[in-house]
Amino acid sequence: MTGRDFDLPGSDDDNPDWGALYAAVGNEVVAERPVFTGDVFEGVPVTKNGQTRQRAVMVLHHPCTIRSDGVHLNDSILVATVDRHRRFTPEEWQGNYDKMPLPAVAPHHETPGKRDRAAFFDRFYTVSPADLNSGTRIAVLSQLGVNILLQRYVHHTSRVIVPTFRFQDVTGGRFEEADLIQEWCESMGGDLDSESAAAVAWLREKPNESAPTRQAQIDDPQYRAAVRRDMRQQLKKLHSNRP
Amino acid sequence: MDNNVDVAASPARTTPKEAGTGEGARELNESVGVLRSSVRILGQDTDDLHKKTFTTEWHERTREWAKRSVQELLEEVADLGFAWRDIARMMDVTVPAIRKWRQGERATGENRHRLAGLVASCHQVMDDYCVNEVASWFETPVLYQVPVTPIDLWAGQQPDLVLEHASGHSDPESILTAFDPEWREHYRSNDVDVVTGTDGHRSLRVKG
Repeated sequence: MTGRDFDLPGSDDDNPDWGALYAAVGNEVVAERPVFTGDVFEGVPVTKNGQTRQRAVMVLHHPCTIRSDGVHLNDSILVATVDRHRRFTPEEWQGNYDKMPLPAVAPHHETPGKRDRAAFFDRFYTVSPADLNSGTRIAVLSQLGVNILLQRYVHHTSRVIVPTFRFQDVTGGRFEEADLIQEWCESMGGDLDSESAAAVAWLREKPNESAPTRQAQIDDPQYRAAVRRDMRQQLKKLHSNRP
Repeated sequence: MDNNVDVAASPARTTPKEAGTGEGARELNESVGVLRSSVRILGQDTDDLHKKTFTTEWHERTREWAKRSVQELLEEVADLGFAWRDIARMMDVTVPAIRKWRQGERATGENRHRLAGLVASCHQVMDDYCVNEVASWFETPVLYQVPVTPIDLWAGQQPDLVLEHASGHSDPESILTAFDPEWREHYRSNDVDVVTGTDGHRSLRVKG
């Protein structure tokens, strides 16, 4: 392969914007954000050869299949080990096919050597939702970060290179859904499980008999703004109806 | 000797009187050429002037919107239907920063001004160019099947291209070339289709 087949974050390949990989890191990560592809957790118990250790991991499960009912995570979530790794140069991103570089994923770590890491695709496990929840989520990827992860992971498993903007076509709707659920839960407060379920139920409604569900509508970028407006109106109504 | 043969053999020695209608055609052609150059220069000057005037209008609108608080400005973009992640991108700040402002934390004067500029541009696009659903318009590719949207133009520090695109006076290819001269190469991908699977979710299918 020649040239730049694998995308880097930012508009300047020679001077990438590593921060563009992440939607939130460290204490910017909020509980209201649904668990999503690319999320990095520390302190997750993983078992191999009968031995259980606590490791840092990254969720590899595709956004469309990470939940069975739209609210609760599947019983078994595919994750990759995350470990210390020196920061890759832009040229090194064009190789190292078995890794997803995570530069500055822990920018405030007390040990400078642990601020840059990588996810290792050939060191994977399956964990339960309880295992993930027992850990600490330290990073959430941005939409671009998720697309870059999928580009690298798909190539690792199949040797097919797909431009990241094509992944946007299949992840955009689910990423939008995660954003909407987060916004709903942040606005309403209270029990996270209940409010997540309420948000998903609202998204699964049809605004009228002839329209598709809101969840189906957000698969199409041209309808997302309207669904966001409607949700924000709904939240205002719910707040005004509160005793 | 046949005079016609002489004229055909040595046109350079032909006198104006002997050229017939050729002289009239040449003069007309020259006049039209001059007119065409003048119109082209006038067109370019008008383009430049229009860009100055719509930018001036945008600055005036921005000054007005900047009188509102950051929370009022954020509520305005939220009511228009923008995603917080896109607002953050266009503002060149993080999503957590936008969340803090929504919760009442103060933004710098520069960020307030930039947010006012975004709101101002939305209203200018709606008022002057009759764009409905402006947030959806911002998410719509400039050119079909090329994934560059007005959000990308704005996030790329080229708000003038957003207004130019809204005005309709430039063709989409020119807008894209001004944004990224190599866009044709970057987004060349005719070999993948987006399909909906039996589970209702989207998949990418490589064309065989």
